[in-house]
Amino acid sequence: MTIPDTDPWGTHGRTRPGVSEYFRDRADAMRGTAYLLCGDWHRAEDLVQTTFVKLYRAWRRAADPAAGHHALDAYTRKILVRTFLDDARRGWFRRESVTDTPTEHAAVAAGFGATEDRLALLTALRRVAPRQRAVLVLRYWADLSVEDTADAMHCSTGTVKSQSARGLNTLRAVLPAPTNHL
Amino acid sequence: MNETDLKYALRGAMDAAGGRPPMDEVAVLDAAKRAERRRGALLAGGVSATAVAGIAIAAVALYGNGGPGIDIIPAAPGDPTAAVNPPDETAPSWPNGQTDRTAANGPRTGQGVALLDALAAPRPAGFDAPTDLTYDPALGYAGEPRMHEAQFVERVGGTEVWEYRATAPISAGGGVGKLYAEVYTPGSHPGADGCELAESLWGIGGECTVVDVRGTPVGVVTAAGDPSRGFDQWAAHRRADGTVVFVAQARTYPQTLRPGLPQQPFTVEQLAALATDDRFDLE
Repeated sequence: MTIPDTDPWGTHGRTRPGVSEYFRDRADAMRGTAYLLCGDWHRAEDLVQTTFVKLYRAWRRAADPAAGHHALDAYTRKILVRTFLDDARRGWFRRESVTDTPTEHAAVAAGFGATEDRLALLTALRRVAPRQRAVLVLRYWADLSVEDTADAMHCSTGTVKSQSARGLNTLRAVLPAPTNHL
Repeated sequence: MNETDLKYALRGAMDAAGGRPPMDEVAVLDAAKRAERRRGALLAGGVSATAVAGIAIAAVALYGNGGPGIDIIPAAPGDPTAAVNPPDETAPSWPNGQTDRTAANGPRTGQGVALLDALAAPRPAGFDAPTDLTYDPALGYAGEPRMHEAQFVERVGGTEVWEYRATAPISAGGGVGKLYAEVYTPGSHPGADGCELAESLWGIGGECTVVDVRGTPVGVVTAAGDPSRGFDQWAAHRRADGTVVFVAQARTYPQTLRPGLPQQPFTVEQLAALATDDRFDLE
């Protein structure tokens, strides 16, 4: 693992080597996952920050150079999802702002119909219950297996399958008819 | 919409959401260091239980008490951006009046307790089953390392299939390892047996061998395909009535922040025999 020249984490081979590089490599991807989980970019960044704060503390134990980033990704994702679910259980994510809807980025999408469908999907995803949403995001955005999803969520594979099915049913129920194929 | 549609739709939606400026690495670092200092101070003061809250406070403090994205704005009726509960028609139907998959009390929970007792009891000479360990607070886990759980899986032919899980720390010589059991009532894992059954545990796989236990073939994974998944070895057995039993062991239990065991608690043969033990016949 290469230690970058600029290392604001101040770890240069001392206590937490590689954490800075890992943050730069993975923060964006984790933020995307967090956004799909909570539906709000600002809250997503809070989630990622809390995740990395926790990761920072556990870094020396969690970051096994021999295991590479893949194993660390799983660990980080686990912290992220559990932090989200804990917050969701406390009702934190009900406080969503209408000022940060996906429409602020609408113009960059291809056709008008396709854009509508994509925005509808993000909106519909917010209507799925948090645990079901987490399963959908891990399975179909993060491309995790059923087993890895179960590990991340600290539940059984049976639960992942049933939550996935329920989540898809909910999405189908709340999504309007597509204006184009998704 | 099927799974493939959703996968492509999520990618398209995120593409449409556009790029964002990189997160402020220095700000996150500051929050991490503040949390670390706060935790150290709290631990020194003997109030380690509040350390996790300290992290959250430090993390939230970065943006102050409510940034632009977390203002509380009441949703208008029919507002599509408001989070709502799933429609009633998609609400799951759980047995026994449960509100979710996990049984919080009653006889199913009792079976989970029985599984934990069964798992912790047959420890080899020189090993203990500590009950006072806690998780590393940094992980934010709920509960304790010694745990049990009873979960409804599905209905097969009108019969409820239940899954019971238990984890028991096991200690020796100052080190702590882990024993784990997962038991399914009849109806699960159709057709699988031996190594096929063993390799199905959490999809981990690994090097598997079949051990003969008094004429009964038992699949034992002797080296996990992915050591990061928390188990080193495990045995799987389908009882005559269809009950499926997995019993696993690990030389370490890193979430407890304790050093590992000098050796595995059970030999491969003992682990295989344990999986056939009648104490795991819960129903």
